[in-house]
Amino acid sequence: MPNPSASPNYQFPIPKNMNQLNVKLLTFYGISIAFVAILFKVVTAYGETNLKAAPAIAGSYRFDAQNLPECLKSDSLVLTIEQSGVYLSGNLKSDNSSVDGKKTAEEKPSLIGKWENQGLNLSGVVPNLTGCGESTSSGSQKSVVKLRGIVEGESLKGKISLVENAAATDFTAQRVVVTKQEHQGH
Amino acid sequence: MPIAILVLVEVLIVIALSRIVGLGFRWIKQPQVIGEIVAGIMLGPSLFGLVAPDLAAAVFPAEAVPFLNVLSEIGLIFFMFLIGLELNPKYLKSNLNTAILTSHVSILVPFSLGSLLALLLYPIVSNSSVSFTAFALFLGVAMSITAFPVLARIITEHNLQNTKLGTLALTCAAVDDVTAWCLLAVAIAVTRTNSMIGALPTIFASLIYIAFMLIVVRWFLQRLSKHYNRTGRLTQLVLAGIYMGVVASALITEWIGIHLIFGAFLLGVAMPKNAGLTRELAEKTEDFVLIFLLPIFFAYSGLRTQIGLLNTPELWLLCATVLGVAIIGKYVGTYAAARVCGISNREASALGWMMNTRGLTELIVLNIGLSLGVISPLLFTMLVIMALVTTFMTSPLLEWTYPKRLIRLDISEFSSDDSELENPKSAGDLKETNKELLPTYRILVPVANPSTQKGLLQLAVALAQSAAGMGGSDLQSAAVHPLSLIELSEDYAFESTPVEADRIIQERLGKLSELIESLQPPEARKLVHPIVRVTNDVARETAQIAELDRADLILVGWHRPTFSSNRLGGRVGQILSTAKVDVAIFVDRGRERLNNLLVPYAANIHDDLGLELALRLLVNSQERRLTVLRVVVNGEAENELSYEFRRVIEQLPVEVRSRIETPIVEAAEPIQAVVAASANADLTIAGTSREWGIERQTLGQYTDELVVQCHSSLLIARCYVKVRSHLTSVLPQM
Repeated sequence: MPNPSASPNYQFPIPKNMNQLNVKLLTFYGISIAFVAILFKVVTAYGETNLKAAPAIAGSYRFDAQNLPECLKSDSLVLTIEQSGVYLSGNLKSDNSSVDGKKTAEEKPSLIGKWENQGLNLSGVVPNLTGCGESTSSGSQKSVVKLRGIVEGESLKGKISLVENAAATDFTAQRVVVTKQEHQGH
Repeated sequence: MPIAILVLVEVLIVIALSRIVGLGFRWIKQPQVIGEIVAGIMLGPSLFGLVAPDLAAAVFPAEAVPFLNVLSEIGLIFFMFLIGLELNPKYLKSNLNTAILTSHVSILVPFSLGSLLALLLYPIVSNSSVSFTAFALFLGVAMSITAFPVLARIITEHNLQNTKLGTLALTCAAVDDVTAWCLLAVAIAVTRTNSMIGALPTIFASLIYIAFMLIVVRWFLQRLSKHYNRTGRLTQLVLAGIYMGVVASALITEWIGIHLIFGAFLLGVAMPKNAGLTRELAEKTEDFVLIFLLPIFFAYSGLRTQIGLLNTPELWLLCATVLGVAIIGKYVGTYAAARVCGISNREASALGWMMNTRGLTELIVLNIGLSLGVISPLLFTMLVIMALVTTFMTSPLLEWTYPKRLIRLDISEFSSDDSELENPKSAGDLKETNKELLPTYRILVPVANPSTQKGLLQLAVALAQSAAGMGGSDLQSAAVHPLSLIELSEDYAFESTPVEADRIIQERLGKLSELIESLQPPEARKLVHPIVRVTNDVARETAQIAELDRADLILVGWHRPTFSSNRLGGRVGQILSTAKVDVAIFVDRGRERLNNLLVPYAANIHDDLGLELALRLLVNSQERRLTVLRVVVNGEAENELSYEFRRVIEQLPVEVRSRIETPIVEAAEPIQAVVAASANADLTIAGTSREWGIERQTLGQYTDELVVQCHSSLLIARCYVKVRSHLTSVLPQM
């Protein structure tokens, strides 16, 4: 049997059954679409005014590292933070090459933390810093770094400590400006 | 290592792993493309980076990622072009009202739920650089997606594309897909300008461009198609023009402010459908795109998927919430809308599960979201998991709610309607009145190549029905079902779209009809009802159909298998292993008439089956003669015909009995005796027993000897079911 749609000029069908779309159906569409649109409007209005997300603090911060305890002391210490809302992860490195903000595709961040109460908390091991990954006096215990701070403008201020010694040292770190190309990405 | 070399090494690894994992997923009856997505994730920090971080960092360093990005963008553009090519308005022509209602509700409900979910998620997983509006919009779109390409393949594999449910699902998915792309375009515009109002110029410009594509460019392409029909081939010049058009269109939509993919998609949609041009274009483009470029996109996406980010129970709980909202939104929305339209419970449920498939399309949307910064890596990972799980669920759930046994077999020559489920009450009544007309003896004949298997079909007809003039009531009719299985080797190619699969099915039906028309005698032709199906496992499908159809016998032609020399190996061997029915294998030596039958008899169940079949042939035609040969090896006692058969032969009409001879021959080698006797026969029917040297998977020297040396055509009988009688339907008194 001849198949009309087999002809090469088959068009998108202008609904011949437009007359079959009765008024009831049309009103149903109208109502449901209007309902969803209004719902969306209400939700976004509420969300825009009442909901606050964590500030965007992802990026690289260079420390002024001369007066930091023990193995953290170095010429250039860089903290790279990745952010997914309140969940943070990061890396502490003393390399200059990580400054460009790109992380290795496979690199697993070694610091984990959260953004809460207007400030951030990060803790973890720092295998990338020499001297911090080796065993210290008490057997094979790796140094665990704890970091607490707040973000003021382009700088990160707070306290940092190695867990063994309880005393926390103040620090300041400046955000490293990344070139814009990554942001408009695809 | 220079970067280009490194990228090539990465591409090699990506393609190899994609193929392997894809095949693994096919083996567990999931879509191959999901396997490829999983392969990409495995190459990223979720598995490779976890297990061997140093090696992973060496193979996929940060510098190489932008290059993978470029390749994956190109792949994505051409893939969307292919998707647009496949979108056929033929899918929209049926059930338009129901489909539009169902598909729009199946978008509105998950979209609303997604926006509500955004209220929960925004403070947790988003940051202030993203406006809530953009976030909610994106999340809503992500929840509303149905992957049309993946669903179309699943439907084709379940052979649903001609059923009412299948066409409805395809229509819904097509409408859903297009609507979701439009919503995505709006979402991207809103994200880039960070407000609804600011997006209006972009939306307006997009509408103008869409109109331009669908009107002006389409007119031009139709003229191109006419030109193609005249010349009959797609020249490289034309192809170059089309590819340039794809890229140009993509660039235009990018410039407008929506994404590259829309331009490519629009050009695909604008191509004239059902044209030879489109088919050839698809065939030329798809191999490289699907094999080479698309896996790179999956790998690039996989490198950004960090399952390791979900490291606390509360995060997994959040992931489960996202998954739950997605499933509930789609399933409940679709189910409710379908029920309102009057669709039965089971079909509506199956439809709901089918629309839940998110697969590949979702991944495209999520990657765009991640690149724009609307969704964070954690949310991206959760949504990728959601996409994979929902797609993974579809095949098993579809099988569970709509099992194959409820799909009536297409046993007419033209596509039949699946009316059994439309009116469940009247189907019962119908069955009552049809009882007398149901065939009582069914032979299933797998036909690989219609043009060379006329002898096989002729034998089937001879077994099935008594020749003209033999009497026998109309009630005791038989049916012969030639079975043609179309094996779609490529899981994701153009040929496996429902429209193409249909076309191939119609072609096969045409060839089978030609073959049936050439059968003698003409009255026999009405017994023959072909079945044509799509499958990716011929033996398994044959066995299933034999069960569903309650076939009494599978009659298959012999062909030499590729890798073994055993005649019962290969495809035939697979059918012998999987089918739970009696099987007979026909070795055609080209005899026109099958009048002299020879059955070597050694009193085992296979020989009994052979004898039954021979008797059936004998009863069906007065011209036939049967010789039951018993061979006695020197000194042994003679074999007796088994008790049941002596009884059967006593019950045969005298006229039939008179055409049977039961000689006994003494010989040292039974097989040679049979070979000698076969010189006088047209058809030798032997059971698969050691006696005649036909044993399955034997490596001994007597294997196949009879098959090789037999002078006449040979029918090898393998008994499975002892209770079934092949004679009941031809002997009225039994």
